[in-house]
Amino acid sequence: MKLLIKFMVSVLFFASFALSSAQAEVAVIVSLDNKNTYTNIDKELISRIFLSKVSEFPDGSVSRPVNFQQGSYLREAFNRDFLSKTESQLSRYWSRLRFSGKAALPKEVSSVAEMKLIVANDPTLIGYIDSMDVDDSIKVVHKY
Amino acid sequence: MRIGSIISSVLIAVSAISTVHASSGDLNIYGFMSVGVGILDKNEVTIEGFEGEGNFKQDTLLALQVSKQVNDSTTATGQLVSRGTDDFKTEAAWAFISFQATPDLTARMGRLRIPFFYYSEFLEVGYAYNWVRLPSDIYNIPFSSFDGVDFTQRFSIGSLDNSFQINYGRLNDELNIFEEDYQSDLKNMAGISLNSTYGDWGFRIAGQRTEMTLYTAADMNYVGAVQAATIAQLTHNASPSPESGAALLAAAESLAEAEVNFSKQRRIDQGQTGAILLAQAMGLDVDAQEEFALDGHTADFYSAALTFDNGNYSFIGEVTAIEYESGLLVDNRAWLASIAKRFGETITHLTYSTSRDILNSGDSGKLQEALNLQGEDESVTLGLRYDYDVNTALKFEAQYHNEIINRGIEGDYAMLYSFAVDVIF
Repeated sequence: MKLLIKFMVSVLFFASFALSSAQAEVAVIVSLDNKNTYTNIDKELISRIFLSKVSEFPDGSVSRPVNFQQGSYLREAFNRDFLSKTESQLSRYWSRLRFSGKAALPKEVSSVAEMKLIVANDPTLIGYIDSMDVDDSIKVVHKY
Repeated sequence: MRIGSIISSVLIAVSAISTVHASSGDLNIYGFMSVGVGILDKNEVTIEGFEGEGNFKQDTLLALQVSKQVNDSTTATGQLVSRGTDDFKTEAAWAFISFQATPDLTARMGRLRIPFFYYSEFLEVGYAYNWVRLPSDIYNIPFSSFDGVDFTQRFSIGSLDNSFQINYGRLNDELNIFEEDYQSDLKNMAGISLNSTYGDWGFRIAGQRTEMTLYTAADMNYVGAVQAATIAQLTHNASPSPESGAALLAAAESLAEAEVNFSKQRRIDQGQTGAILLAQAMGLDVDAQEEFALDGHTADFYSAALTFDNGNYSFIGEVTAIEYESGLLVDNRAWLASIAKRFGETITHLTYSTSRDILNSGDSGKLQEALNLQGEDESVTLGLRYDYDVNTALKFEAQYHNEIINRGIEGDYAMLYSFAVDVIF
């Protein structure tokens, strides 16, 4: 019995370890020139900006989302953690907006370096990177 | 056509670099395509254009969308659709220039979709919904685009995100109604709609009005022949004589001739003629020539929809009402309710929809009834959607369709089985 519990605990331990390493910690970033802070940009607002429902930051300035290209592990983590949608569900969501001329897909980048560069240089942009890649060229407004 | 030539030159460029999705600078090409097949379990009825033999053309269509950002605030967009039901003739469903006045206000001008109901602005994008095709109990209006302007203002109240849209324009085009073509002019097409979302919930309400003119005409030659024959009959019955008998025979002959001509006419022309004759014969207090015509008569379309989608479960309920000023078209009430459950990349869904024509009150309604204009339908659809990848959906569907009343008489029912592949690119 004792052995069984010990075994279960170790399985749980390894399982949680494996899970956390598979899940990248996503940091949502903006330019250093962006006046909005960590406290006023919550997960819900980020989701609304990335789904083109809102086009302004809390301070009233224009917000434009930047995505990674399809297939990126960061994009998958972001879709799951911030948008709570699968890639197919998002594809369907955007097909409605795109084919009724309502909104264009968010701008897309293919690398973390590119993401950091364009976000750093444009205070209207909001993007995301792996929290391990955070440096002082950009500002983190949310982590998950 | 300019857009046509732009698209063909772009297509050449695309094929040259052999990739489906082209993007050169700000020029984007997207598209969607559906291929499908449907078969009814009965030979003697036709439902939604399907019969007992497999029909591969009805659900098949291809659309290409090209858009080019002209400057920071201006974008030109064209969407060309080629439908199997139309022998793959290509038509611009959208062709507009949009101007972003502020981050939240957009103005568009050109050819636009009429935002009647919830799915109206993307009604042909099969990939965008679970069904193989939209429920015909609601989505059966014979026109879907107009030429004009629309303005969309977005605003948020806390976490409630709204978009308010107004449109105004005109449609001067040939319409296909009851499988027949009518030249038409829909003037002063004006509408408003409000779309709101709050978390997983969505709400939409909309109203649209237009003044409908169809180039149809009552067959006054036939009306005259019927009247002349009726009078000759009465005269002969009152005091039969060789002269009155000969007159009756002559009247009957010219009536038979007029009838041949009448029988060749389109259904709405016949309805208009029938309305005049029946109103007289039944002694109804209806100015059939004025009321049972489509000459600038208004048509109003209303709808309200409620949606929910938490990723695993989704729901939509929609109610619609159509009010026609003309007696030739019968007012209609329809609604649908649909639930869907997702299992990984598979979605199962169940839908009930129903449509009922409402006769006018008084003599006008009696005349509509005598003309056999009213219908009533209901259908239950059980379906499966499988997202093969992020751009491809496979769909299977079984639909029980019951025509409770069809053209004033008891209708028939049938099962319609469909399969479709929808892709976007």
